[in-house]
Amino acid sequence: MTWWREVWHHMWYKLRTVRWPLLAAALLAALCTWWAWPTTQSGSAIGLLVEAPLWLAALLIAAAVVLRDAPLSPTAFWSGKAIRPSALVAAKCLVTVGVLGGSALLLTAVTLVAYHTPAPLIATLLPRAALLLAVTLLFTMGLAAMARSLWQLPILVLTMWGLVAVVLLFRESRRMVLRELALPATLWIAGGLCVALVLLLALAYARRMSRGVGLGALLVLGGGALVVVWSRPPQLRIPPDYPLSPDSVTLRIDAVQLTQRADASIDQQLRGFRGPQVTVRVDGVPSDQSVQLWNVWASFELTNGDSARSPIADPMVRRALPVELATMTWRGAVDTVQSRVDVRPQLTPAVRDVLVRHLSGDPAFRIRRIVLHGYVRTSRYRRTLNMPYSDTGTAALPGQRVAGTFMRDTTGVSFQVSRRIVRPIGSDRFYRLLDYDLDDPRGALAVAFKAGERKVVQLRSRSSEASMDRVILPFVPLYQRSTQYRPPRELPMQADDPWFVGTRLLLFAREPIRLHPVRVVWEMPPTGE
Amino acid sequence: MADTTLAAIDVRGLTIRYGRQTVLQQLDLAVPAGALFALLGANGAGKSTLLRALAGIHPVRRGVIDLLGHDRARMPIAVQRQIAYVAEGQALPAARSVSELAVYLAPLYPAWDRSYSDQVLAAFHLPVHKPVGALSRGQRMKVSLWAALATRPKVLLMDEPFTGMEVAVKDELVRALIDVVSLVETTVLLCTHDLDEVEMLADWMALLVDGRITHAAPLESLRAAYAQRTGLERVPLKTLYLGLSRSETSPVEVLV
Repeated sequence: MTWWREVWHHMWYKLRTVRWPLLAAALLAALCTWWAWPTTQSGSAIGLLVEAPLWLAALLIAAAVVLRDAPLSPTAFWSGKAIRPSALVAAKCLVTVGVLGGSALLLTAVTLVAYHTPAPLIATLLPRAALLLAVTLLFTMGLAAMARSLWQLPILVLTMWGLVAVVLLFRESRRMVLRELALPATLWIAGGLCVALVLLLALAYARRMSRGVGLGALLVLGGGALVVVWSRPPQLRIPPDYPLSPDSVTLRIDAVQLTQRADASIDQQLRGFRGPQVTVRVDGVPSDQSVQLWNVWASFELTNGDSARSPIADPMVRRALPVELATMTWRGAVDTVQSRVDVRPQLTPAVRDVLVRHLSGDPAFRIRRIVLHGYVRTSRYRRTLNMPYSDTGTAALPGQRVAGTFMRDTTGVSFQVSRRIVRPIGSDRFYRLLDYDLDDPRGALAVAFKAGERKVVQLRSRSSEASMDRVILPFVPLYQRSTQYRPPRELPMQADDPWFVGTRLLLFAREPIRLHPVRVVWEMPPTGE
Repeated sequence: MADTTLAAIDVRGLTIRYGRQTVLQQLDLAVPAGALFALLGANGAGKSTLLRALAGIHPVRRGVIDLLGHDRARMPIAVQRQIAYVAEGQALPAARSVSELAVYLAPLYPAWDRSYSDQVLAAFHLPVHKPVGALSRGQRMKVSLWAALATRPKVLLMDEPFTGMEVAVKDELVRALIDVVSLVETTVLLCTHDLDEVEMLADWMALLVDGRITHAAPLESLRAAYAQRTGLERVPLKTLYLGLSRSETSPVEVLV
């Protein structure tokens, strides 16, 4: 019997052994999915109630598969038989990670598709979910391999989830050691630890290493892998009330730099985008000029095909899906800006000159954009690629008496504009204020400044995270962080403070260039091509 | 009859330690092919450790173990399939029946003979469709023996397989084992405390004392040598065992 035939032989035997628990877990998953489907938008308790049994069932089955023939037990059945240890451990890994994890992943994919999740987003979510599942299951297997009976499993599971809790605490407190690593590096680390975990498991079978050494090594390796994958669990924010379709995601390029000897258009490929390669065509450029992307503004909005419910008017829409996609694409856009225009996201002397000129009343610089917000929403999302995090603001309802903040933090430059409206404004004026003034030929980064003191003011955003919420999806913990929408606290300054009077949001450039006021909108192809 | 010219099991300079405690020390042992070899020794002498090392369960770091002419550490899987190991307390898949176990084990052993397996099952009077976990202790041991014998092993390692069994069951098992082993040329290494088992089963005997083999020879040769030395006309096995255990022959009196 060849090695592979032996693996298959063991695998089918193990599957027969755990077929009833597997069927029970599948039934439980189906029931939970069906039950939780309408309630995914709310109810963290429900989410926990649904997810916990599914995870517990999966981990119990994984542990049971290992404990049926414990690797380190001298009285195990397999140890007295002519069975290749590597074939046995491979079969067990195939049963748990392949069959159990694969089924969970398939169910997750089906659920994501049912939620009309864009294909590129599914393509980025599923590998991370697979890694999370694999590491968690393998770590459970490793711990179970050290146990002698299923009775020790609750202790092992508690140990493992204690580790996860520690990870989440670290994650929340932003004290993760690896938080500065980019995602590809993280994936490499997690994948490497995953492979090491499998090798160690195989070694435990083959060499029957002493329990102490094996347990210690497994805990270190598995714990490391667990920390890595659980520090960035796949995030997904799906509003069931706003079913997404691929054409509801748009990418805007607000302005392009014009140069001589131009083509009429430019195809821009966004780097860092993990889905199908996106090609953005910039149209409307004069034929005698070429273009360079200057101020790329990756903006994803949910239009939902309902113009009456503008996304900007409904803060709930803003919490929706495209955070992952937006951050990834945004990074690509930032790269584009930096590489092509050599703009660094920091306050350079040239930028300071611009500011000074503006503060001195240079009329060439005008207010570019003022965004008013009635309800402040400050959410911090972990970066998914090289994006530290992205803070987004939510606009106020038109006509509302507001005092609000808009903020965005990209790659180190924070800017924040505060504006207090002392009387209600109409919707016409509100939306007019929102429009870009693209006549201003300068624009790149935005800062807030205090006119009276002629210095840049950077305000720190206030975090208003309220509670942890979850989207209910089988086996894969997809976190949904709910955010409280509430009126912001008053800024610590008086209404008639000169700071408010002079506050404006402007765009400035490192050097005067001419920007052609085009607006390019890329719509994701329906097929995700 | 054992072929004394060829050793099915050849152990040279085997040393095994548990931490600081040396369990087996420079142990040498040769078991002829086809022998029914009994390994006797006091509790803690290292019998089970030796058998686990022979079975490949315990790693060997010092010394050499040759089984069927192959180094245990680098033994091909095809040779491993000619070696069976049965131990008291060895786990069995409790949820599986004997018939299901046969389906699982048969493809792993090319020498598995269905008719021979059925013959052994009939000899052991085992219920084939009952889960192994629901069987009595004696029946579970029969299952272990059946799973070992049905592979038609060339070497059968047995570590106190009949300990704690009722006399009738033990007697039945031993007789069945003798019948079955006689059908194939199997070398049996039996580790036991029970002299009756040795009397019924073994034609060779070795004594393990403090991690070393002090005596190893055909049973009758040992008896004859001991009778000659002590002047006894008839040497019961108990007398022989006690006499050899208490003898201060040093370093090792190996007759073969």
